[in-house]
Amino acid sequence: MKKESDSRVKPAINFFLTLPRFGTGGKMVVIGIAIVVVLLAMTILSPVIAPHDPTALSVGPADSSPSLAFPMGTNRLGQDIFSRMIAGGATMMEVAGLSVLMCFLIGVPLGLVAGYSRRMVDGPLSLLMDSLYAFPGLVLAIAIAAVLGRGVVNLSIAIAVVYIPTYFRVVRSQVLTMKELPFVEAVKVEGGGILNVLFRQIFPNVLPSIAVIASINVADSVITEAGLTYLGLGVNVASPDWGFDIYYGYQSFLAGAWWTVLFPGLMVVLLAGGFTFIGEGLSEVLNPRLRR
Amino acid sequence: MTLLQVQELDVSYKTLKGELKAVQSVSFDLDEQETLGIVGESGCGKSTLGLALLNLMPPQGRVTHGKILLEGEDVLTLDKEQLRRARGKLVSMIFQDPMTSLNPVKKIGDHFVEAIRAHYPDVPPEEAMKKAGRILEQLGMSSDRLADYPHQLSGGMKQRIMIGLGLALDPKLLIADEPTTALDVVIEAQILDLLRQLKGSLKLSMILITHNLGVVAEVADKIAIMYGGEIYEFAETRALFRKPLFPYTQLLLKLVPNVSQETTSLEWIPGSPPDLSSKIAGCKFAARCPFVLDQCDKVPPTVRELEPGHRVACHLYDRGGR
Repeated sequence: MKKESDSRVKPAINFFLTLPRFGTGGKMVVIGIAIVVVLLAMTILSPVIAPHDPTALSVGPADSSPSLAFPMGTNRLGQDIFSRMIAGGATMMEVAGLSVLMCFLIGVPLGLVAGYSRRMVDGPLSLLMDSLYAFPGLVLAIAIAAVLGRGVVNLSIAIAVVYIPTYFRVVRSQVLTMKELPFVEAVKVEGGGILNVLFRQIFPNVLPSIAVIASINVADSVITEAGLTYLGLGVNVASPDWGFDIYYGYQSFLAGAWWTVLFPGLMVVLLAGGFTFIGEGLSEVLNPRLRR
Repeated sequence: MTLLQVQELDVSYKTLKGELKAVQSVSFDLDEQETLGIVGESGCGKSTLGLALLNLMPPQGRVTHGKILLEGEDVLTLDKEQLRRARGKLVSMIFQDPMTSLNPVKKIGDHFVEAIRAHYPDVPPEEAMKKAGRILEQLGMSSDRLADYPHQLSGGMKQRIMIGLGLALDPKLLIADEPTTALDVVIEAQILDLLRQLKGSLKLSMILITHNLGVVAEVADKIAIMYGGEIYEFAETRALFRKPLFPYTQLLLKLVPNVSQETTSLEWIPGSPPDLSSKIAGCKFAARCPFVLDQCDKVPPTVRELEPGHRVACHLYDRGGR
């Protein structure tokens, strides 16, 4: 049993160890992973490393500019922005992770089934997905979030609905080309059922493209979450959140306190950028046609 | 002993233009440990014949007449489950393109384990893997290759794996449909050599489908020449090469380029193969035949056995020999 698990894990480890050798794409993945891991660790450890309680009011004077005591300044309520930056990624990461998981669990199986079945199933499903795809992403997310209300799960659903069609389309198109290949037909002849064909034969072949979409999708959902929070559709006003801080700092910003908006903005860009690096890098590494 | 008997087999495809008769009244016997070469040009029905032997036709295709007796049992009357058992265990098939026949995300060993355990679910994976290793060594490859993914192998190695997978369940009959088409000439020779060795060591019957007379000359004991969906000449390899009877066979042999002769251009047979969706009353080859007679267009020729084991369907031999 131990040997078995080794043989499954080893290729994955080797893959990451050899990534830097894959040129620009590989290096991008490594940098992206580094950024995300650092931000993740920072958020998890925030109760330990934050100099102040991120939600405590009036730890310093209101709207004071960056100084030694408050490296990123304070906001209107006198909260320490530096501490809020360290802790503020939690909701965003939860929502991003959960929405990607939802997309994966719903978009991928639907894509597999639609690609494999005939018009009766594929037609309506594709029509539904295409109509979802036709909406501008943020507008659709706002509408759904407004209907569902606050909460991590509701926000994740709103974002997942926007991105499910992307997974669906990519998986479906790959299944369409793959189901005609001899190795798939051979399994059918051997008596393999639809589940075997879809999940044991075709699914592993589709995984690389899903990995690429997922990491780009995480970046997008980070930005969408920030957008929704900025618009007041966020999870909870009380907990620190980069998107909310941008919204809240806006008035101070108009009065000249640039630090209230700049730092939360940078954090969002950093997190989204980290995931984008992973996604773009992976697609370059995994797709030999893009690789020069 | 006779392993396979094909009797008066007709296979047709439903097309937009109507019924297309891809195989017509094909009959032949195949003994155990015998190799039959089926030769013909593109679209003459040889691949369809191969698929029909395993009842593997695409949905549009149908056997309209005839019997395929495998060890005395008609393949066409078997139900789905019986058919599944027969495929692989009794008869297995190797296809043209080894590149797309292997699942790119599965290791070579997993392919073997899957194939073996699909038929014998009780065999533990380790034992199936051991068997796979033995097969690879038989094919002249290292058993270390079981841990490789298909993309790590060359085309020739992949085709060896395909042959190995075909042999994994110790079938009695191996059908190889143009097994060397996707390979270069050097690898082609190696694969043919391998097939010939296996035939001897495994006591295997084989049907080799190809458009290359040179290929069958090396491996086959008997040759069937197909044209327009019918077998026009059937003979032992030596007899066929020494004295081809059907004009098409004669032309084919004449057209093989000869390095010892000084020729400036390649020869060919004028015309193109018949459109099988239209009805042709007489001999299918009549339109291109240099020795065409009056009745060739009108009356289909009957099969005659001119010499023991050498059958031909041609009006030239209506009066017993030319």
